[in-house]
Formats: sequence, structure tokens, C-alpha cells
Amino acid sequence: MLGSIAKLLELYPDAKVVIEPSSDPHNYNFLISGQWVTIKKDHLSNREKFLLSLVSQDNNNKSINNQWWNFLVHETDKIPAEKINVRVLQFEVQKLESDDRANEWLSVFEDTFDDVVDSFWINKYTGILIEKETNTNMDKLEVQRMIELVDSDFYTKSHVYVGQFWPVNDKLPNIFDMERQLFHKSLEMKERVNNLSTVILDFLIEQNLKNTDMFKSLKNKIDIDSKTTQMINTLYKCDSNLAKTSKMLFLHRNTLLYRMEKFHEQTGFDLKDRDDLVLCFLLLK
Amino acid sequence: MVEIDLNHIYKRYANAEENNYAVSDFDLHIKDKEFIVFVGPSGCGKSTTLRMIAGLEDITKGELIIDGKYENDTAPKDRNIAMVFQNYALYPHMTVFDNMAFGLKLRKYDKDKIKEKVDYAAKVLGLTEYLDRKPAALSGGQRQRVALGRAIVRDAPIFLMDEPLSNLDAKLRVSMRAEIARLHQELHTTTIYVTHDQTEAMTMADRIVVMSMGEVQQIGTPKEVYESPKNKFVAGFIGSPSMNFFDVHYKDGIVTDSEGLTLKLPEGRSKVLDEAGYDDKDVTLGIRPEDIHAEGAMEETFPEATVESEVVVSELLGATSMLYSRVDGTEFVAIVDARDYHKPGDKVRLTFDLNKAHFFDEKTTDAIR
Ligand SMILES: Nc1ncnc2c1ncn2[C@@H]1O[C@H](COP(=O)(O)OP(=O)(O)OP(=O)(O)O)[C@@H](O)[C@H]1O
Ligand SMILES: [Mg+2]
Repeated sequence: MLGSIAKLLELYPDAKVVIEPSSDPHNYNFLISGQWVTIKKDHLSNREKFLLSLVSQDNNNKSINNQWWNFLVHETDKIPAEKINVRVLQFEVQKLESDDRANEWLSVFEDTFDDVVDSFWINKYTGILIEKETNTNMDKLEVQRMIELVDSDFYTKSHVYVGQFWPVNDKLPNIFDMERQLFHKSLEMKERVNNLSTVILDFLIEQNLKNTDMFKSLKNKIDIDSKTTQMINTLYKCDSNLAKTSKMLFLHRNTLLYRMEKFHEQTGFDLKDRDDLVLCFLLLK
Repeated sequence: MVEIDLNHIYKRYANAEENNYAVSDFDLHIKDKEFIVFVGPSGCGKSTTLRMIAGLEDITKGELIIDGKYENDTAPKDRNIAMVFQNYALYPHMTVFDNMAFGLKLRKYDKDKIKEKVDYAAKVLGLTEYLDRKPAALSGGQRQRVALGRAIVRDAPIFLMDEPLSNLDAKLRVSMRAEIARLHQELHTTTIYVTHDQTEAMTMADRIVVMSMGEVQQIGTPKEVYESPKNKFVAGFIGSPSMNFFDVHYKDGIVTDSEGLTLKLPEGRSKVLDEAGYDDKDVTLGIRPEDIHAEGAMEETFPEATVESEVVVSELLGATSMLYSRVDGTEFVAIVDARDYHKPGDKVRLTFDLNKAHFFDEKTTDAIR
């Protein structure tokens, strides 16, 4: 699918990969493998426009009339609730059969939480659930179990970003801006339920490093095949414990050492060294 | 009656690099009523493959054919598949009955039909008397059975299970394993079961698909993958404790390693190596712990495959005992009769049954046959 996006961008230089679907009526929006692509209507033929209008997903963010949403996206200063802490769960649901199903899906998902303040869709695929802090809130793993359950009944594939608890005050919209970006980053990740801890590294790298010349040149220097990737990720996951790593990789300890040695010779990075390992781990992100 | 064909299936995730496939060239024909297990280490592509069959992940390249019909683009709900996930959960506010009935209610089945299906599933699983309970009032095993019940009521001809037992404690895991095997015998549902646990694969599967790094390494019955592993990866992954491997040099019917191990091969074995052109070459010798013996009778038969070794660690396991031993610098593990138990530090003569040995090309790691 990445190939398809690349091809699309090549054929239609006007098209853009964007974080949020564009609300400009002069654009069409598409969701391709979890990535929004928007394309300007101006330079398209009528035939193309007709075809695209059939499959594009118009952004109706603008029509959401919800006090929480308006507050979170800075459209109003009116604070929707006081003296409570809330967290925002953002979700994207793929493979829903119909709009009716979407409402059912949301009500079932909502029912699995005890202290929902509000929940609503912000477009065809993504929605928000706001939950009050109590001492019985689900942790990330429990949310994951629930989402698997709901997905298995609806034959859907969902991603959830579980926000932190925050007081409801004038800072919350700014915090939400950041959580919104983290949510979008989390859609690319393997785990389908994420929170600040699981996304932050990937997020920071993308924001600050990934497109720098230094990072790109470094990355080019390392010959990243799947074996190397797996070795580095597993070493990191096992806290550099060689016995554990070789067990997880089903390699003999000496084979692992040999591969680490070879990597050291080729790249100058010594994976036995904690700092070098972390750097290589980040390079793979 | 259902058959599944996976024809040269590839998967690349949207954010992956150009040629970095999570699954490559997965090719498998699944027969009606078969119990297939995908097994392999973490990240090898088991879940990805399963989720492509379920329709939850797009197929990048290749064809999925179910009962002769091209299904790549069929919506998940139309695939006639029931899926059981790793984190079996239940709706906490619903009774057991309603938990099982829920998927059917969503599909607008009529009440009588739902009751009939739920009652049947409850009977099969021994849950009839718990139908009115809430999940909180059930044991872990009962909850897990309700999770299976939720799949059974769908009446789907295909079950997909992604590590359904991996979050259970060891005892419950063994009993649920038996339960799933029994269900399969009773319902004959074509099943694909994903696990990273080779014991689970060996005990449950009609056929095992061993995967590593996105690629199928071998497909075969438990007996086939155990007795004739195609490569060193399969040989090391299947079987517990793992096969012992030795980097050796082969010449004139004799293998030696740099640490002082010398073994003479039986004629049949050396002939295979000679004919495949491995004389005077480095090869990998593999031998399973159960094919190393401590009885004197074995030594009489294979005097030139016997070594004097020192026990490093030993464990007594009822009828057998495990000896982690060393010959000079070479370490290996043997499973011997409990009578041949030895303490660490003891010297023990161990015989390699080289008729059961495996040889692998040092570079390609393919089995030499
Ligand atoms: N949504 C995703 N986005 C990007 N890469 C992914 C995604 N899901 C899985 N992968 C990658 O694809 C490869 C195969 O993953 P998969 O989950 O299929 O493995 P698995 O065999 O099920 O492993 P495990 O035992 O950990 O569940 C891994 O390298 C993984 O990081
Ligand atoms: Mg998996």
C-alpha cells in the first residue's frame, strides 16, 4: 500500500499525505492504509471527479456540535465540566459495515466503561470517548481486552490511544493538541492500543530526528536487513541480556555474539555498549 | 466442507520499507477439517498471516481462496470465520448467555435460533448451569470456555485462534489445550491456531507450519517436522530441550570439532555426506538430547561414537534425567534414563546414536539428505 501512495503522489503531484483529512471543500480525502491522503479537485477532469466523489471520505469534522469537542479544539472557551479529572480515549475503527453499525459499535464500546462523560464520532472512522477519573478505571491492558472483544463481535479493526488523566481547565485543549498528534502516530504502530509511554519514542524521533541529514546518513550506513532489525530490537527488549536474547531469537549464544561482532566491524557500533544499542534501536524507528 | 488456499501471500505494512515484508511467499493448502498450527518466534508473521485470512489486514500480494472463491477483498464479516483472540475478555455486565449470544444478536438472528445455538455451545462446553452468571462469578477456566463458546455459536466452518492460551497459567493451559483438541474432534471445524510454543504445536496439530522472519520454513505433520527437519532453524525450534548442534569438519567418515570431539559415522550416514559432496568440508551436526545415551549396551554397538564427558548440570525428571555435559570445550544436553542420573562433576561415558543424527550445510543451514 505504501507503494500505492507513492504511485498516487507521482501521478498526482497535487495530492498530499496529511495528518487530518482536509475540511476544504475543494479537496477530496481518502484513507489509504490508515493514512489520510488529500487531493485538490481543481486539476481533475470531470470523469476523475465523478469517480473520486464515489469513493472519497468527506471530512465532516466541521459539523460536529459537541461541547467537549468544541472545547478541546479551541473553538470555545467554555469549560464543559468542573472539578473532575478526565482522560480522552481516541479511537479509529476500520472495516465497519455501515453508519448504523458505527453507532452500535460506539454504544457497546461505551458500555464497557463505568464513568463515561461523553462519547461521539468526529468523522466516519475516528471518535472520542471522555472518561472521568475514579479508582476503577481500566488500564491499557484492560482496554485492549475490551477492544478485542468488541472487534470480534463487529468484525472490526480498531486502534485506541488512551490519554492521561488531566484536570478540566484551560490548559486541557493544549494538552489535547499533543495527544491528538500522539494518537496519529500510534496508528502506525504494531500494537493497536497505545498510550503516552508506548508512543513517545517513535513520536520524538519522527519530530526531531528522522528527517535530519545526520540521521538519514547514519541510517544509510547501516545495512538494515530483517535479521539485524530483529537482533537489535530483541537485545533492547531483553535489556541486553544475551542469554535471554539468544533464547528469544532461537540462536546459539555464540552465533549471536558473532553477529554482534560482525555488526561492530561493519558499522562501528558496539551493541554490547548500552548507549550504542539505544542509538541503533532509535535508528530503526 | 471448507478448504483454504493461500497462494504466494505477501504482506507489507504501510510504514515499512520498500522490500521489507512482514510475510513473504506464504503458500499453503488447508484441507477440510484440518487443525493447522502456525508456530515460530515472536515477530515471525503468525498473527499477520492469520489476520489476512480473517480480512483484518489487507493482502499486499498473492491470493486467498476459500472454497474455490477469491476472497482477498471480501469483508471480514462475510468470510464465515470465527476468531478467538489472545486476551479472551467478556462483557462484564452481561450474563454468560448474553455474552455468547451477543454476536448473533448483532446479526439479527431470531430469539429461538439464538437460544438453540447458545444452549448447544453451552452443552458442548459444560457451561449449561452457568448461563445466568456474570463473568465475575466464574473461574478462569470457565471464562476461557465462554470465550470459546462465543466462537462456537457463530457456526462458522473456520476457527482462527491467535495464542488463545498464552495468558493462562501453566495448569489451565494444559487443560484448555485438551479442551480445544476435544472440541475439534467433536465439531470438525477447520482450525488455524497460532502459538509460539512448540509443545502446543506438536500436541495439537494435524500439520504444523514453522515460520521464521516472515517466511515459511517447513510444513508437515508433527512427526515430519520432528524427524526430518528441513533446516537448522526447524531442527532447533521443534523439540524440547532443543537439538544439540556442533560445528564440525567431516572427512573420511569421521567428524571432528575444534574442541576435541571426534566421532565415527555409521556407513549409511557417511555415504549420504560423501554423495552430496561434503567430504573434507565443514558441516553442522545436530543430535537430539534423547539420542544421546548412557547405557553400556549402546557403547558396545557404537564404540567410536562414545565420548568421555563431564556433567555440568543435571536434573532428575521422574523417569528420565537431563544431563548437561561437556567434552573438552563442547557442551550438550542428553536425556537419559533416571537410573543413569549423575551429579555435576561426575565423569560419564555418553554414546551418540549417529543413525539419528542430522547434518546441515554450514552456510545455507539446509539439511543434507
Ligand atoms: N500494524 C503493524 N504495522 C507495522 N508493522 C507491523 C504491524 N503488525 C506487525 N508488524 C510487524 O510485522 C512483523 C510480524 O508481526 P506479527 O505480529 O505477525 O508476528 P507474530 O509472529 O504474531 O509475533 P508475536 O509472537 O509477537 O505475536 C513484525 O516485524 C512486526 O513488527
Ligand atoms: Mg502474534
